[in-house]
Amino acid sequence: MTTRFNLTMQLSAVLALLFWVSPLQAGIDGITGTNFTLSVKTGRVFTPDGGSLLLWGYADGTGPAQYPGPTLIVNEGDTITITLNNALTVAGTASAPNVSMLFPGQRAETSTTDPGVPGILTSEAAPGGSVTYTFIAAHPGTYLYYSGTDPALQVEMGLMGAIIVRPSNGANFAYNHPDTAFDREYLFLLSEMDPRIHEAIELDGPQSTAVGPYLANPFPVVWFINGRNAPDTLDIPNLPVLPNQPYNSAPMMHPGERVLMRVLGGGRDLHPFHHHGSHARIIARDGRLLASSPGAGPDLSHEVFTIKSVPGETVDAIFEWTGKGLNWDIYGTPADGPQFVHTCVDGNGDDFDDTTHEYCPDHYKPIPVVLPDNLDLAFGGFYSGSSFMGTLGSLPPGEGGLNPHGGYAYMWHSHTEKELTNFDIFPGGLMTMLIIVSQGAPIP
Amino acid sequence: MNRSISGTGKRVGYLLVLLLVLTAGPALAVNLAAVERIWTPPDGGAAIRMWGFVEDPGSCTALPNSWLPGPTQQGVVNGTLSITLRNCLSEPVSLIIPGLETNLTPQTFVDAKGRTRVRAFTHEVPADNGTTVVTYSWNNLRAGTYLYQSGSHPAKQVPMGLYGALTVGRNSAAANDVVLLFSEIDPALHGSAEAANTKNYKPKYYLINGQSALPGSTPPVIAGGRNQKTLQLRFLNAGLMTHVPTIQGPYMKIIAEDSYPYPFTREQYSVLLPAGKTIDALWRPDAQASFALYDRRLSMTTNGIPGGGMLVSLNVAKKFPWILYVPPIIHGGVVLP
Repeated sequence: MTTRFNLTMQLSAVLALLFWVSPLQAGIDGITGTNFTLSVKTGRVFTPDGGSLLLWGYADGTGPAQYPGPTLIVNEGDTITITLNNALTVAGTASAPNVSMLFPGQRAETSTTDPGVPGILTSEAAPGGSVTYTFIAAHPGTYLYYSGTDPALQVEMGLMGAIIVRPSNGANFAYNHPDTAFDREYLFLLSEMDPRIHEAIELDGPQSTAVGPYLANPFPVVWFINGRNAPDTLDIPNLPVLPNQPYNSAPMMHPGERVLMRVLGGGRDLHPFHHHGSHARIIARDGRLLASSPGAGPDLSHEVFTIKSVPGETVDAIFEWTGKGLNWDIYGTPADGPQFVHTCVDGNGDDFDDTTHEYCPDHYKPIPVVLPDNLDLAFGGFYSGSSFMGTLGSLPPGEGGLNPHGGYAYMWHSHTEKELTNFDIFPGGLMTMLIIVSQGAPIP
Repeated sequence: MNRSISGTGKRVGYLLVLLLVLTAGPALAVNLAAVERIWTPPDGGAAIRMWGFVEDPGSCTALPNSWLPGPTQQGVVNGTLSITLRNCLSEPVSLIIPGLETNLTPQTFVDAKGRTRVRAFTHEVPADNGTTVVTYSWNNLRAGTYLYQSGSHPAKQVPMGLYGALTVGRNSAAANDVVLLFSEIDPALHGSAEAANTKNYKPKYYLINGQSALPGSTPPVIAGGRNQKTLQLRFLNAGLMTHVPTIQGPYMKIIAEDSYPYPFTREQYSVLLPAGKTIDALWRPDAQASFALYDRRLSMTTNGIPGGGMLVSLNVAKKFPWILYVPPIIHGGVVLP
């Protein structure tokens, strides 16, 4: 027996009004403003294999260290001031190292009266001291920040984060061009850790001699999206048991929406980020539109099914999904039951239903397989009991439960498939699930 | 099918040959030698035995001692290049330039199981203490940036240090150009090169133009053109690992990969530079200052010590050389481009 989540289009419209007031509410967690105070502190990165690693993380003011650091969400043209305090403590008798921030893509400066001390790549905050950086967020886009002090060690230890510069066009645009409009956006800050380095620093402090061979030739065994390993990526943000990993990665969308993927290479390895479900159109790299000339928009954009995430670089891509091309009706047919009777109204001639974005040429085409009986299935938490969008079917006791709105789940993950592990335990690592729910189903 | 050539056709043919001779570009003739040298790590580590290309001293005696990548060769677009190579090493060597067409004559040997196997991509200079010299030549040089490297047992001889840069022409928008040659050294390969293999390749030293920054010290300096003048950055990777050269300053316009121009330039602050790749970019510095250039794959270690490795300062000179020197603007003791 099946029950439909949306009985009628009218209900759908009502639900849309109720739950879809702000399409950005799923948005990207972060802190906004023009003046930020960050501190470098220690913390713990918890991995789903039961382990935990020493973290050096950027904290928002007096808050806990974060991996990744707070996502700074700013507006184009603003002058951004970031004061960094060095509150790092280390094992042993040695003093804590200096820390700092680099802002690739920005032109950061420190004032002549700044208390920062000279470093090789930038001004640094001495232990107990601080440094203040200023830059103008001149160009919209997706950017990284990370430590400019011994980056091979300090980025590995966790000192990196994301910057989003909103364009003057408005918060629903990635850049100042209509072709960069989006309905939802998600951050995918990809990274990895080699636990040997964290253990050596935890035991011996930053002067550890054991750490050298690992830094020269790291061998990471845990991989992260937004600072979490799967399946923790899918849990809610700000989870008390993950005090230093506040961000999750749980993308959701409705069919027909434009989802902006902000993909950042935060670690030191390349990660081919493979997004099941549909291709994505890369519109920008390193915060610059793929434009043939200024103002042309993303006319050099191109589609991929795996985003090549390069360390230190950023990619903005638009992902869309409607079910087009499946060659069967994702909302079922009358032969599947009376509750699947529905219309496909294409008033504007774009081949899609004007409300649900159903692909009308496939309307009422049957799913081309004989659906198996529950006795012939093994279940995962995301199976709703039905093959059809927005529908819940009967499941054995204890099965399912992660997909209360009958959405479709697509794995988004590193295509370096060994990175789908947590210290050799599959599944995990650099992986999450995109959930596509029918129009009107709520997206938190 | 045979086709006879008419008298007129022959005359046209001769004319074409004459035209080709008349229009052939300038010739660059170079004499190099493959020699054994040493590289001294900046951290005081033990000197490392290297093989390298040097300007041919005419014999295998009285060689300079210190290793660097082979001297940069500057070819002319549509011109010819010939390199005459002397071999002062203990095994045959050869020269190839990936990306430039020429006739290759692969060299083979018979292994212990009687199988004929390729040893070199092309003809070799025998290991006869420099007695024989052999010439390699290329025609119709295509504008861009190339690696020249050993074509003999390259899995060993290239990591041993037998590589250098060839530049052909310069982009018309650029006033200057600079070679940025990335490579690595795994000392384990160099103790006894005859036994070396790259199965367990784990480099300890990460180099740009043969130099590895010493942690805690001022990075090596590379002349980076003049303020407000477009500079052509030529990135080459002679190593075995991927690097991501990143510039702390204005964006680059990436114009070509493997010396094939992109139909449109890409604006980025870094480039993906896998092994064997060359990338050309245009970069217009906007200050008379030092701009840091480093590997964002974080090969920024020197024998495991963080803060060194693939890190250089691109020193940009003043815009007009005849104006009196003005010190760069210092922010908090550090130049922050």
